[in-house]
Amino acid sequence: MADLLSWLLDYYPYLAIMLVIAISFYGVLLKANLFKKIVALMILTDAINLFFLLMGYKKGVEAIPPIAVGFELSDFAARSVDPLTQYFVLTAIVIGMAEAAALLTLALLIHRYYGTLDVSKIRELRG
Amino acid sequence: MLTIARVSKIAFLIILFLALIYAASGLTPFGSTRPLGEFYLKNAYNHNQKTLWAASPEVVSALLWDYRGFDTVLETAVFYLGAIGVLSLLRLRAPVKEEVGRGMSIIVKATGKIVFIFIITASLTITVLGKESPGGGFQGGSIYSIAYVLFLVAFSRQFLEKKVLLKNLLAIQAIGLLLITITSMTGFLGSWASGETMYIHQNQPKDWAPMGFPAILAGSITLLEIGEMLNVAMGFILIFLALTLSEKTAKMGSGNG
Repeated sequence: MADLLSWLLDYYPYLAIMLVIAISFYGVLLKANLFKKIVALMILTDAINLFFLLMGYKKGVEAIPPIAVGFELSDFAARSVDPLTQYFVLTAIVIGMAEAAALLTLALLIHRYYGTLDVSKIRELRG
Repeated sequence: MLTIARVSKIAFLIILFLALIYAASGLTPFGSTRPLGEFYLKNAYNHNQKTLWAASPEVVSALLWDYRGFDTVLETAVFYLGAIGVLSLLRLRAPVKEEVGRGMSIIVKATGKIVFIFIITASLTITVLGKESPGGGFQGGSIYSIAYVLFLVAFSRQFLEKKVLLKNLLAIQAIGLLLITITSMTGFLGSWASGETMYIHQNQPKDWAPMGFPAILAGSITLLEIGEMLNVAMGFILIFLALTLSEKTAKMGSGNG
């Protein structure tokens, strides 16, 4: 029981992020409303970004942000968190924003032409 | 009510959750940085060995604009194309005629004007100091666009669209992209003019390519951050303006662009 508790204390951010990813996957795949699908996709992107940030965290040492001011270089390299994951997230956020804007525009146009966002009711889209 | 459809949905969720936990179990943090990340941490601001450094104490900025700068340049182009895509899908080339909204109360308007200046100052500070503090072009640009969202809410959409014309926003965004392109092409032009070796998007001098930007202000990084900030800020304001157009006027005004 104590083992399980300490394991949970160590890894609860991972469990929370994976739960958010699973729920947003569910939203993207199984929701009928296009707008809800887009919102779920945005939450999925953010959850994966958060997971990337968490992957770069350093355990066991007093972690510092990757800014090399006021530290010895070897001490800095030993204590700083991984800058590479932060770099990936930074580019992914802006691209995710552009993608969300394009998707929302498309949903807006679909609603304007068909009067609904329910994918099962947009009959004209059937092949 | 427990139907088969609902049970299968819940089972899907649980199986997905367990599979994701299993997938993530190898990616938990450990005591040391991964070797690739450690290379950047050791070399980004190493005064003793200046052939591999980026002259920027902030390692994320150094990665973003020096070591992996080309990625970011093309990614900025993708963002520019995204903003153009939104505009062309909505056919928003000419300004549409719209009733002028009254906005919120005079208290909100007056406070909004003061806060506007604060937000703009903060965004410029974050952009220019991106080489030594957490921040940079992306962050500064997003904060800049938030100041305009404040105006959009406190005054009205029509007020904001009169102040910032859509074509001007697009032009400033293009200027930002041009600044980035010129800065990254300086290496090519420099090597062509002087005969020395210099690579495209080179920031600091290397052993085999002795030309570079001055190390003060982190070389080309500050210029690139400012270009990125212009691009992101104008792109966000454009997207917000395009998506907040009311449905009534959009139906009236669409197709005449």
